[in-house]
This record gives sequence, structure tokens and C-alpha cells, in this order.
Amino acid sequence: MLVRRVPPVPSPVLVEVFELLSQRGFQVESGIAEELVVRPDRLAVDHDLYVLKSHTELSLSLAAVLDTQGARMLNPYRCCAATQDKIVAARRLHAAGVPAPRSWVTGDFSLLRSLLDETPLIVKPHRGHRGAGITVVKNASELASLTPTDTPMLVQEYVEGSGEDLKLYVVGEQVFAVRKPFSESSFTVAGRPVPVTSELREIALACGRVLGLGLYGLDLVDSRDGPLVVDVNYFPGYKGVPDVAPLIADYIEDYANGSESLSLPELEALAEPVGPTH
Amino acid sequence: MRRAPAIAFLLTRHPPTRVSPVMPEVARQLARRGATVEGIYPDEAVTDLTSLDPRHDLYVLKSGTDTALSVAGALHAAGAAILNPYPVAAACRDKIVLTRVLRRAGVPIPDTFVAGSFAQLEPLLSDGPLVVKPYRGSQGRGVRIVRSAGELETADDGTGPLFAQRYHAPTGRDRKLYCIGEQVYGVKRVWPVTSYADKLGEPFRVGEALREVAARCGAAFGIGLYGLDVVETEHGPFVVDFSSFPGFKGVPDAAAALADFIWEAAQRTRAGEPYSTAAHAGFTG
Repeated sequence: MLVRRVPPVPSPVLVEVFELLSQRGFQVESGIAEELVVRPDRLAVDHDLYVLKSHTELSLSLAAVLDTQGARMLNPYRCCAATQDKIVAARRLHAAGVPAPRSWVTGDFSLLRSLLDETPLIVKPHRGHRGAGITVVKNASELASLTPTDTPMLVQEYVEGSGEDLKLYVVGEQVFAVRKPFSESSFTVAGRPVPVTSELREIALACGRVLGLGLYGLDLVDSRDGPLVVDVNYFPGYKGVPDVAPLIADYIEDYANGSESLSLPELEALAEPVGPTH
Repeated sequence: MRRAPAIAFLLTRHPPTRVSPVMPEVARQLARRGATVEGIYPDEAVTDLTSLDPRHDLYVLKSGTDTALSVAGALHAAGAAILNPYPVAAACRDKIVLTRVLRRAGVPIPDTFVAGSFAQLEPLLSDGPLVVKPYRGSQGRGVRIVRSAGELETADDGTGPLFAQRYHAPTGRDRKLYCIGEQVYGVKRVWPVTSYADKLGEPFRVGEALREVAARCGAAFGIGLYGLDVVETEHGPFVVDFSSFPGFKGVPDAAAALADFIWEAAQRTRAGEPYSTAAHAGFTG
């Protein structure tokens, strides 16, 4: 497993998953990319399955190297890469008909002025994680005070929610929902489990299909027109989901045995045929 | 009768002081052949991801900015044909991935190390100097030769992993190899460059050995348009950088060769065929 410990204690769910897999006879080894001197010119595939837990750029790079060497990975590297790049992910979610805020990308914030006449905006680093670097912009002076960045920014319609975060966590086909009051550090707080409506379940599984993920989480806001997906993450912390570790261990075991598989689908294959083709 | 292809270039606008004559000339030549040519500047536009649908037969990813790469990624996800293919362009920006792909293809690469902090690299200095580079950088920015622990500490700006390669002293000027289809062009250039004349360098005839190195790089990614930097050393040539869309500076008549290559690729993608073998080389998704 490629993991990253921030804060420097392992994710509790991961510790439990390790134990369960070891008890079942798997040899489990974990590595933190940032603590190793890696030889990318020599890196070879020496495990039957790699589980990508970390979201750091270095871990993704190593995962990419393992992928070019033919390693099996959960979630698959290409699916993680498409999910991590919010710009690519936004285009995919839209293609799958997943309800999501309108999204744009720009390298020049001043061009967003005319959009601000229509809607408040939320600006996110395109490869961000856990809410870092996110700014809500409601007027021209807030726009002017944004610091120019080197990295592309995903710009979304800002949807005023109910003040609560709604998170969906998925293991294969099993969907869990938790709610918690929103705050800047709320990613560290466990929410309370709430029932999963069929609408939410449908949305969660559609995200998984179009991004090719089996272990993932979604952030949603409740808008007047229903729930909107504002973020998708591969292998989240599953905080607040009771007894999820055995389910994750089962899924990893099935994946290792080849009875589950995932891949990044071609969008054309998902599209409904429109009109005559000849 | 075949409709002429529609081609878009993803570009970065350069300050007017910078001389970059190749791409405008490529666009003019393609237009003269009847292609519809459009320039897109992703860093100066607001791209609506909700309605982003490919409208061109081919998107030429010339710009090296992250915004352009991301927009190319979104276009790729929407089914657009991109030159070079988006998965290849993305892999080439990441030196960690690049190194592994080239080494596996038998391309001579200096020994390579990646670490979270400078302290982890320090013991390696006892075997000689290292070249430290930003692992997502390009075009020689932030490249420095490190000989001592102090220099290593200065090279670590704390923003991310350190990418280091064993330094091999060059026995002459750097070699730039530019590939367009079957053609390999060589330019000798001083490093670091300080003037436009330096950038143009001096053309040289590429021998069999370097031709083979260049061919292996292209085959590793399944592409025909690329450039590489080679350092000649006592231990033979080493490839120290690779670009999926270099500037082709100093290549005689580069615009005509590029226009031919792009025209041919657009004809294929218009017919729904791949123009490269990137998918065979494993670069899909």
C-alpha cells in the first residue's frame, strides 16, 4: 500500500484493514513515498496488488511508474489520476450526467468578472485535497484579492448549502452517507451516519462508474434543485462509517483475487447514441 | 471529396519580445493547404467544462502550462484527438515517470534518485556530484549541479520531492535532438543559454548511435514528434531531458516538416484513426 500519514498516525480504518488482511493470510506491506529514497529508474513490480491510499503528488508519480510496469492497483492508477485532476473529473462527471455545479477553468482570474454577475464562485486548486486553497468569491473586490497561482484553478458555481457537509462513502456497490456541520477543518471530524436515499445511491454509483473507482468518497451540497457533487476522492478515510474496515478488506481481497476489476471507461462508450450515425 | 481538417493549437502567448517564429508559420502553412486553424490560449480564457466538446479534428498541445495540460485532459476525456496524446504529454511532465519509461526502453539515463528531503540524498554525494531538478519542471528551469551538502540544502525549497540524477561531466556542448516523423535533427548548444543565438545553436549531422537513442525514446511513448537533450560524456551519451513538444529552434525549415506531420495526423484523426502508436506503448486512459 502506498500511504501517507498526515497527521503522522495511520488512518484508523487502514490499521484495521491491514490486520484483517494479515489474518486472512495476505502479506501486507506499506510504504510512505516521502520517507524513502526511490530509484524511479529501477522501480519494479514486486507485489500482486498495490493499494493507493496516499494523495500526494509523489505517491501518484510512483503509482504511475508502477502502472507503466503493468502493476495491478486499487483503485487503478489511471482512475486515481483522473479523479485527482478536478478539471478532468469535472468533465467526466458532466458526461455521466452526475448533478454537479457548473465548472470552468482559467489561468486568469480577472476573466471571471462577468461570471460573478450570474453567480458566486468557488475557486479550487485543480489537484487540491482536503479543502486546501479553496476560496469563495462573491464580488469583484474579493476576485481582485485572489492571489495569482502557478497551478490551474477549477472554478465552480458556489452553491449555498444547508450548512452541513454531506459525504457519501462507497465500497464497491455499498454506499454510506454521513452528515456533519461544515467547518474549515471538518475533514478531520467524523460525521453521523444518515440513511442513503435511492437518489444518493444512484449518484454515488454513477460517479464510480465514470471514474472507474471502487473505494471512494463524494462531497455533496444540498441545493434547491437537489444534491450536487462538488468533489470526489479515491480511497477516503471513511470517517463516521461504522464497521467499514471488514467491508474494505473484503473488497481488497476480491480485487486481489481478480473477482472485482475496475478501469477508466471511454466516455464515448457511455454516451447515448444521438440521431442516425450514417 | 474530403473536407479539409479543422485543427486547433493550444498555445501560450509569449511577450512580443520573444522570438518564436515556428508555430505561426506552421499555422500559415496548414491554412494554405486548406485546413481550418484556430489558436486557443487556455491561460487567457475561461473554459466551460460543462459544455466542453471537441470541435476540431485535432488539438495540437504546444503550450507547456499546467492549465493547457488540464484543458487537454478534459478534451481528451471528451474524446478529442490530441497531439501528442494527452496520456503521453502528462507522463512526460513527470520526470519520475519519464525516467522509468525511457530506462525500460533501453535509453541511457543517469542513475536517478527521488527523496522527500535533501538529507536523504546527502550520502549519495560521496560518489560524486548530483544534478537536482524540479520533478515537474521543464526547459531546464531550476536545474542545478550540487557538489556539497550545503548546496544540496539550498536546492531543497521544501515544496516537494527532490529529483536528482548522477552528474556526468560533458565532453562537449549539449546535443539537442528534434524528431519529426522519421527525421532526426541535431543542434549543438551551450548550457546554460544566455542569448537567442545560443538557443539557435549549431546544426550537426546526427550519427547512427544518437539516431538509435532518439528512436528508442519515440518508440517508448509511441510518438513521432518530440525532442531530447543529450549530454556526451566519457561514459557515452546520456539523455537528460525529454519534451513532447519542444521549440525546434535551430532546425532548418522546421515549420514545413511540422506542418506536414500535423496535416498527416489530422487526416488520420478526421477519419477516426489513431495517428500514433501511444496506445500500443501503454499510454491510454
